[in-house]
Amino acid sequence: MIAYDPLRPPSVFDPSAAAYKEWLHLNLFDHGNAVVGVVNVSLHGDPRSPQALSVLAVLIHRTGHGWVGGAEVHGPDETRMGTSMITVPDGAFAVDHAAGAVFADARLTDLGVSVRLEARAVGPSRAIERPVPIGGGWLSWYVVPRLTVTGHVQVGDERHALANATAYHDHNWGRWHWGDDVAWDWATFHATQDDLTVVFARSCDRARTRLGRAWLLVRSPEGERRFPASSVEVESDAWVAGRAHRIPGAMAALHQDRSRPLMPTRFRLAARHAGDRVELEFAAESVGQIINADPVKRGYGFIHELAGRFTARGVLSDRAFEVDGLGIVERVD
Amino acid sequence: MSTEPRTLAGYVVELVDRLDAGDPAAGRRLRRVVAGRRARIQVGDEAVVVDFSDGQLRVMDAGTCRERVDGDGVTDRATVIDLLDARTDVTACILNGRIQVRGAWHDVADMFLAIEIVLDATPRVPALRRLAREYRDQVRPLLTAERLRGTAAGGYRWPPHAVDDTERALLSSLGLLPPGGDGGTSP
Repeated sequence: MIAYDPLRPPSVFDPSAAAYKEWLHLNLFDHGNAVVGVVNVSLHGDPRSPQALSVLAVLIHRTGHGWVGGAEVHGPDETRMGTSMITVPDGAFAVDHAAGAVFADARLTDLGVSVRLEARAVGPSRAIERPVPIGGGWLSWYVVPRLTVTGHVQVGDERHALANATAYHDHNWGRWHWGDDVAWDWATFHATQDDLTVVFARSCDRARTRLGRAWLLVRSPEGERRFPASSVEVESDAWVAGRAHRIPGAMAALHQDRSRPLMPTRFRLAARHAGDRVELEFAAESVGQIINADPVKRGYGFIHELAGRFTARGVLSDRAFEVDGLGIVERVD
Repeated sequence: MSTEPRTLAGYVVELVDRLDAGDPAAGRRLRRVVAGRRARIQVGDEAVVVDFSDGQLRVMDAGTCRERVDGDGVTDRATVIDLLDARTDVTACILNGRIQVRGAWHDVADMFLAIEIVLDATPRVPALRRLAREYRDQVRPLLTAERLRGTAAGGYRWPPHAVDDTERALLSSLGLLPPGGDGGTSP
């Protein structure tokens, strides 16, 4: 069982309804096949407005092959919202909190990918209900750091049954307009062994000159550790202006200047507090770029997904660990 | 209700009508950018000549139109679908010849700006999104998987055609040749 967490659409009295954003998100880590996946269904703009958008995005990263996948954009007439479920013509995303389960089904067959995933929470959920200021708006989130997952991923004609796969789930909601000074860094890392999971997040401005407080959670069989922001060090280097797999295609065509985003290929995290410590190094392989258009204002947000492998070592509850696994770093600007 | 597939001319008319209705400011910007000029657009085996006469869109059959054109854009339906599906990008398509644009530099620049105005309005105009979906639904079944091959993962040929030494020197001086620069494949 995980904490109850419904969707939070704006009320009819909400003056900021036009800036409404919300999504259900799943990251897949198929350790057996070295596959990293992103499944996300997002809502943009007042759901009562004909201008509102919903976007189903599926990206699959295979080691040595890079990202594939795409996004389909739908209007409010094609989108259904339940208490904790969003459906669009080509997919559905649902959370059953009583069962601690997350279901994602997406069939973007014309774009070469489809997934059917059923994930079960391994540990408790975390809610960060207090809004985090971003740009001129705010963002709240709810996270289930680690789930086991069964199902399959299909890329083209190749169907992979998941092998030793784990997942991360979050739910975000808030008010902002894409194109405003909205940005964040976020990452999650799932060890292949030892059930170790790391989740990192911090908000910032688009220029990354004003960094918000780091949020670092490390989950192990011994329990969970939240490291104080002051104890967290973050470093990115080996910047490369590499070619990205960019979706949706029409927005990629519009923003040709963003086709080679400058992104770090190495990302390091270190934290030490009250006898616990963690040192993590992530090596990115390739970049996927999801371009979000605001349905109300003329503005765009660029979500970069960096997939790769990581190694981590440290001490938690007096137990030393040294692990490796799959991870994903997200940089938004 | 008609089940006749929409023609290229029909899509151009619908696109401008829906842009005017959904984002009038973008419609006015489009007219200002292309004012006084005429373009030939070819997608596959269909070609039209378009201009605005006193702000009114005119779409003419390219086979019978004898009026001067200022710019010419040629592509095929597979390329349009590959772009919409994110299998390739505009730069690759231009470099490998899947999109060909001819005209004086300022006319070519304004043709691309006109396309940008439409793309930029699309997220805020549901009717334009529906038109894009209609196009994909109409065209995709006509294309074989082989034609939907894309080039994003495979690089592109540059230059896409034979160039003489003078042109090569000019491209090199502008930094527009990839390493090797001799028509090989660039990442």
